[in-house]
Amino acid sequence: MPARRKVREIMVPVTSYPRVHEDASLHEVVDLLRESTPPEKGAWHGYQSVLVYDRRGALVGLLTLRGLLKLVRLRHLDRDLRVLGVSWGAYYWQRYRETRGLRVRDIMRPVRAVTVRADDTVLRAALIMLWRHFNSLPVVDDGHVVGMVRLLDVFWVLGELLEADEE
Amino acid sequence: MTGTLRVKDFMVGLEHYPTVGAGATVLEAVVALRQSFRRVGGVWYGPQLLVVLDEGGRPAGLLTLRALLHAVGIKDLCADVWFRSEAWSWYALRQLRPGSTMRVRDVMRPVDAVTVHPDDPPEEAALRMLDHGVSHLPVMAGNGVVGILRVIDLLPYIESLL
Repeated sequence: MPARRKVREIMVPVTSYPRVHEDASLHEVVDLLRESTPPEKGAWHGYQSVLVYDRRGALVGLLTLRGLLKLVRLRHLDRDLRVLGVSWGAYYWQRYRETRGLRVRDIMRPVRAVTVRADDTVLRAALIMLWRHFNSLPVVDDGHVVGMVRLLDVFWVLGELLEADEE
Repeated sequence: MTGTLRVKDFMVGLEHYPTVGAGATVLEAVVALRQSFRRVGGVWYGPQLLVVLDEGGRPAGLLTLRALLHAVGIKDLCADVWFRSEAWSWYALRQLRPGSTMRVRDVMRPVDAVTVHPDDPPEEAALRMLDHGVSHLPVMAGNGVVGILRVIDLLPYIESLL
């Protein structure tokens, strides 16, 4: 019954979610995101984030599409400053050069920042996503991340509920 | 390499998106969007956007998955159910219903609110997404929408900056 659905029942198991190492290059993330979206369907969305693991295999963060998009701003800022001939433009240029070597760990969202519990209701997950403007949340059970819940998963269940209510 | 690429090279054609009429209820929109979801290997895939059409069949607005969740009143429930263990109470269910009978035209983002042109550089589009906090931009040529641009469509451009 949809009204009792728990996050555990709708989450994507952590083992099926795309993952990278925290020292991986951002190119690897781009490749992963590209592979995880079915190419034959133009408007489809699959995953909008990847999980980030450290050297010991512990889950440490989440790298989102939006996080990647923010890199465009950094590059834009740098170019504008050079065009303006601002004296400290060199400083930003240096920063930009460093950016080119950015690793996953530099722009990820720490995994412990916001999570839901596996036994939380789907509604609770929906509220957190709407409040915090996140598209995916790590699901924690007994201190371990066991899955990811996406806005798409939440929407599916809430839609089920609304449609059932209508009948 | 990507210096000469334009928005039109990244966008997804309008015909790939599910549509809903502006006069439909939010509930009907929820049904329409869910129908376009597919399950592959136990995981749901689908578009995160409905294109709203006016009476003449022209694109009038965008309705994102997130906007639909807002519209059915889920966010308004926070104060009532946030601390309850029985979050899915019948009370909550009844609260969801008024929102679901609202019309799509009352909750959609008008199509011309934030747009890009097919010949705009991808950087322009990316900055507009960041400035306006949106993940989808209608691509407008003249008065018509020719496609939709998402963050994920810009991946090849973002990669060229790395």
